[in-house]
Amino acid sequence: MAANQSVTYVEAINQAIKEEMRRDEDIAVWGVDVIGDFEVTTTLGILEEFGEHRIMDTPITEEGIVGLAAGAAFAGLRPIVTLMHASFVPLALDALFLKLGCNYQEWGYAFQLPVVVMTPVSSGIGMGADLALSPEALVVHSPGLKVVMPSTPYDAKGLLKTCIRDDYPVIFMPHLGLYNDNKQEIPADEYTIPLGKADIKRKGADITIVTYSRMVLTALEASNRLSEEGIEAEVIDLRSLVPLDIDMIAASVKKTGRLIIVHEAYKRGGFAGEILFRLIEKAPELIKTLKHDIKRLTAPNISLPHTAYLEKQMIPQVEDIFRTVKEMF
Amino acid sequence: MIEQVPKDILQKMYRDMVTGRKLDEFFLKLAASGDSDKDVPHRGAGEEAVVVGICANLRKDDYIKVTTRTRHCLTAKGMSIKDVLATKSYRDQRGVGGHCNYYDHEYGIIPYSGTLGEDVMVATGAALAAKLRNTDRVAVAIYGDASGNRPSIHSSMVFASAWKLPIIFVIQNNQYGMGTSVRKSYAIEDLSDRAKGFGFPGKTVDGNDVLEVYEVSKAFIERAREGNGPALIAAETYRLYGHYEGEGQKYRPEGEAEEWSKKDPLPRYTKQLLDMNVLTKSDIEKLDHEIEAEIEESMNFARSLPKWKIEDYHKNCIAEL
Ligand SMILES: Cc1ncc(C[n+]2csc(CCOP(=O)(O)OP(=O)(O)O)c2C)c(N)n1
Ligand SMILES: [Mg+2]
Repeated sequence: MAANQSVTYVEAINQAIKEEMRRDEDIAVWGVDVIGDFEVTTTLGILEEFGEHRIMDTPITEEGIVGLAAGAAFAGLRPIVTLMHASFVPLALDALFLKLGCNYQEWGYAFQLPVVVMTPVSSGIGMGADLALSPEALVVHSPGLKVVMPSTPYDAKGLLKTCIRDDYPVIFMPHLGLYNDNKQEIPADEYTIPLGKADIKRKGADITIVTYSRMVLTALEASNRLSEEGIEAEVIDLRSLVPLDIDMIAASVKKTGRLIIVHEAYKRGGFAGEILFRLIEKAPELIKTLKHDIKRLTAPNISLPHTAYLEKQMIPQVEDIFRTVKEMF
Repeated sequence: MIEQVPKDILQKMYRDMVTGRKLDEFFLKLAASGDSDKDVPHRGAGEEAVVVGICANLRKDDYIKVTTRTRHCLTAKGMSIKDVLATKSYRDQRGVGGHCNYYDHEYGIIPYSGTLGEDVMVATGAALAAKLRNTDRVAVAIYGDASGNRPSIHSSMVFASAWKLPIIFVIQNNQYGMGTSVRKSYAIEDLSDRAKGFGFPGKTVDGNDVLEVYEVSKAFIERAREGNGPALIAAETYRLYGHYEGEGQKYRPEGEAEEWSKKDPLPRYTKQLLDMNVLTKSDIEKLDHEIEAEIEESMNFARSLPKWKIEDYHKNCIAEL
């Protein structure tokens, strides 16, 4: 076993892509400014190592970036394509829903469609309504798409490798706000993480906080403060939204008797609603035994403003989680 | 050519170019001071001639959408420096703009779009309304070379040509989209060739020559106003700075920016005006000072306005709609 290595989130993603590209020659990468002459570092160094037929800067046409991936996968490639911000998901929705999500299902999985669409969520860092959208609710709605949103370097690498090996389409949404901040020790040896397995990032007996992506870090910070007040929160990081690890959520809520769901996306039609309904379907009796009403913390149903100091205040903060959880006791 | 342009227009274009340039420089200071919320400037200095030359042919009631990079040059369309700075520093009392997010209904300035090119369809829709409402207004959509590949621009051209809409498409070709050279995203040399397949006229101009931009856009705008449909202008210019301030610019060949900076439209136009005795050296000094003073004064005015607070923003949005 090789020693551990300390990497940032963005380095972890970069490693996952390169390792998989070494393993499989059919993998090719394309997207706007991916070669890395610019600053998008998840795909840095790929040109140098793999050459021009494995990575391409595209014209700015998000519809084409994803649509061509569907065709290329149909014809034998295993594309990893990027949309510079997850806000551009709506631009490519037909390709995502129908060409990637639905077509292979209609034909009974008669052909494989190994595509990873990698698109970072950029919310909470001042990009405004246009660029800060957290669009997971849009993509989870489509049949046939897996949706992955990691919160740590370790998870990002292990999950992305699994996504790349998947023979069907996956939307991999890292968070731009995590790229360079939180270094973590990860194994130097190869590892993968299965989709559909949530991760308990903090154990606790008093309340279950279900969240994903950057909000995991916010929830953990809030949990530490809650602990000082005698409340032990269990933080569940979903890691993948589709498939959803509803068993782990149900088991935790059964133990704690309290549930709060936290996400950065807008509230109405947000993924919190889906989690709750899945829980009701999974454990209808459990809901009746809870010690407190279920809560959710999300961005409000108003357009994110184009400025960091206001945008931040629209996204759940440590203080918001702390206060809301305390009110549940 | 310059002889045929009315003197007041020549002077207006000079004022507009200098205002654009000085605002661009002022934004750097503003960003450093924190008044624009640690905003990272996307500099457009050296590319002003495109917006300025076109706006000299537009009326207050015409519509325009420009690139993010040269949005502050919209003072040429009539927006006041006060309004630009109030928006820029999050004190525009109508709503929260900021960064490059401006809008002014009174001057036909179409709201910003962070998703590149989508606002070209909005401009095309404005041209449709201008036509259906029997006005002789026109719309102008200026977009970057890289944005020019967005399907939304293709859609706009499909409508504009089929319905003969009064819109002028303008590619502000500054040779790069982020780190990608225009040569990598187009197979055609002359970007105005894009018009051919749509059956409307296209012309490539020196985008650093404000007079040429003025002349060519004048003809196309008049043609559109008379009901003869759209046109495309490809304005060749250069992005002298990084995509945003502080970005590494590794993609730029050595010496390229230096070569282009010799073609900077402002000194070039200044020289033409001096040679033609349209302005004297002292006129120019006076004007430059006036504009600087106006920027200072406008910023002081902006600072006297309340900066947006989250509670007020919520109220302004009618939260639970
Ligand atoms: C639909 C869409 N795709 C990608 C981006 C990211 N992006 C922002 S600016 C930019 C480059 C734009 O280049 P160009 O249109 O030439 O304008 P310039 O910056 O040169 O003025 C890109 C790719 C975006 N904002 N919108
Ligand atoms: Mg450009």
